[in-house]
Amino acid sequence: MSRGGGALLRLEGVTKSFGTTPVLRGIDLAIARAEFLTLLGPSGCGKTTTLRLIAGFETPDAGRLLLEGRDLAGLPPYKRDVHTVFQHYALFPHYDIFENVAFGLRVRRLPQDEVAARVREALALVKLSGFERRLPASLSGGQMQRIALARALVCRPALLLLDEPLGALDLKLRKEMQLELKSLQRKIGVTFVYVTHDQEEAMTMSDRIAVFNHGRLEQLGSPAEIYERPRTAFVADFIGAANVLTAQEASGLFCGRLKGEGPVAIRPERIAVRYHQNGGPAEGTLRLNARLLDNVFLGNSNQIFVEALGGAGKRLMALSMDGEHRQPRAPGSPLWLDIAAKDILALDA
Amino acid sequence: MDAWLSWLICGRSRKSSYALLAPAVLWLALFLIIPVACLLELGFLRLGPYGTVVFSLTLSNFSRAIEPRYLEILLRTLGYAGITTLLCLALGFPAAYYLSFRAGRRRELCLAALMIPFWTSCLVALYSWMIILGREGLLNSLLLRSGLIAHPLRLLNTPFSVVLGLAYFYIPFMVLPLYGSLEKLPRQYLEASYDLGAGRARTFFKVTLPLCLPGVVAGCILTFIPCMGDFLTAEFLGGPRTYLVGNLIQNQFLMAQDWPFGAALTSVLLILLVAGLYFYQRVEPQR
Repeated sequence: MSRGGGALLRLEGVTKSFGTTPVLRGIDLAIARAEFLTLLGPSGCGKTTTLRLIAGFETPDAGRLLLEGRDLAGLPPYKRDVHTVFQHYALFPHYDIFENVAFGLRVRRLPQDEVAARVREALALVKLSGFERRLPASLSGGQMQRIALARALVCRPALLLLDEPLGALDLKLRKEMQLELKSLQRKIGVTFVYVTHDQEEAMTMSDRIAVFNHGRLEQLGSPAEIYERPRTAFVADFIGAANVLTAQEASGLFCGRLKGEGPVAIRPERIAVRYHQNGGPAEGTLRLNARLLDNVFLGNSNQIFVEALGGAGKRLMALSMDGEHRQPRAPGSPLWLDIAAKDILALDA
Repeated sequence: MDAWLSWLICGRSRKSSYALLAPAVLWLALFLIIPVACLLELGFLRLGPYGTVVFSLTLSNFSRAIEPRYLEILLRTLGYAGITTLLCLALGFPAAYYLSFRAGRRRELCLAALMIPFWTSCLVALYSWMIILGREGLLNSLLLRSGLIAHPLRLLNTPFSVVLGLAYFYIPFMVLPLYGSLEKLPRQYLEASYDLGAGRARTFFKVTLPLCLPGVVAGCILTFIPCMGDFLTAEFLGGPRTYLVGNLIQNQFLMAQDWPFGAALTSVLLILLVAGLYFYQRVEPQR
């Protein structure tokens, strides 16, 4: 993955407000060629605005967008080598599928036989050959989504923007389409910038994830980096589940046994719950006294809610795949929590 | 009373459905269907002495209605209504586009400006146009004073003044359906078109216009039909060469006292318009 000068698209200090509401507060982001980058965050975090800025539907208040080193300022959407798959597909209802997919090619005045060949190829790519003469209204949501994808890809854009394209599909179809989209992106090697608020979707598909919150880029990294090394409490909490402890709570609970002094996060599956003290904790492991609050059976795992004793006390959640925890125990039972020091993730204050 | 109301409103029976329709049907029957039927019948009766009606059946009123000199008036009216409709479309589409896409906060003000002339009495409006267009009217004196013309132009009592007056009265019927269809047009279609590389002109002709075509058709029908029946505009702003079907019919009823012939003319006009609408519905592709 090329970085820096080789980036396909660079955002430099991009700022945007709607009226007096700041939506983006200085975004710096470099998108590499052929990567699958996901903009992830809760609604109102600025991810869709970022996408619309790249597409050209909005203009930044400050900062620059550079596509292959060329400043996009002043370029209308129809002059950008960037195409979008819209959230509600936006297939033209008065054109059949062939004409929908051919729309961008006709704009480019390609010869008729090339238009036909490329439409056929694009429909084959999304596995909807034979749908040429159907109208969009006669398609299912999943089919419309594929046609929207074919329509955008047929023009071979440098960059494809996808605005929550799976949002309107049911869960099962969404899961299928996630894997399909990812393998399609690998096959054709087009750069995808994908917007979603679904962290699982982001984890499934992305090469890198950019986590947005309140108009800021909180963290940028591979799914594994983001999960294993969250930088802020927001990222730790938004991606996967996490027990987030403030600096005060952490120092109270661990009584200075930690290296840093800031807030920390602990993944629930990294907390080992023990009902017997049997010897001391292993090397490099910290042990906390706690009592059981609740134990929820989830099928393949158990969610164990405990209250750590010491300091001001703190409710924690642990996740265990261990069969031992299937045995119901009375709330209030004493137990011990073993946490490896390396699993106590230091966060930015 | 209460039980009756609940039967009426919540009932799913055929009887309660008819009961809900009854007032409207009664109203239409009393004030539209029966009068139109009477009118049609009147067209087949004979004119007696001193404007009376004799009850003996004849087709002579209809054969007279399609005589060349009356057909010419009908064709002229079609022409005036057609030109007025096209003018309203040419003026109204940009206005509707502005209202829907650009007006922003001025939208309410612009819509009010569109509707207020429509609510003023048409007699007041017609006299105003006479003052504006007259030989010594506002427009002529402005043009004379600015030195653009040396002699006053003949504006009033011309085809120009009639088309102007018709367009002035009926343009809200064009703008409102157009505005409605543009408002309903999801902006995402336009964004998708721009996104795929189509510029503003191409997007307008390939996406905006085809998708608001139902509004264009509705606007044209709603403008064309009242233009066909209008007689006041030609009466006040027109001259002998702008005599329209509306004036002809009005004269049969009020001046010539030939009600059967007036009724036959009205029937011909009505049949023509209904047939036109029916034909349009048959050829319009189903969406």
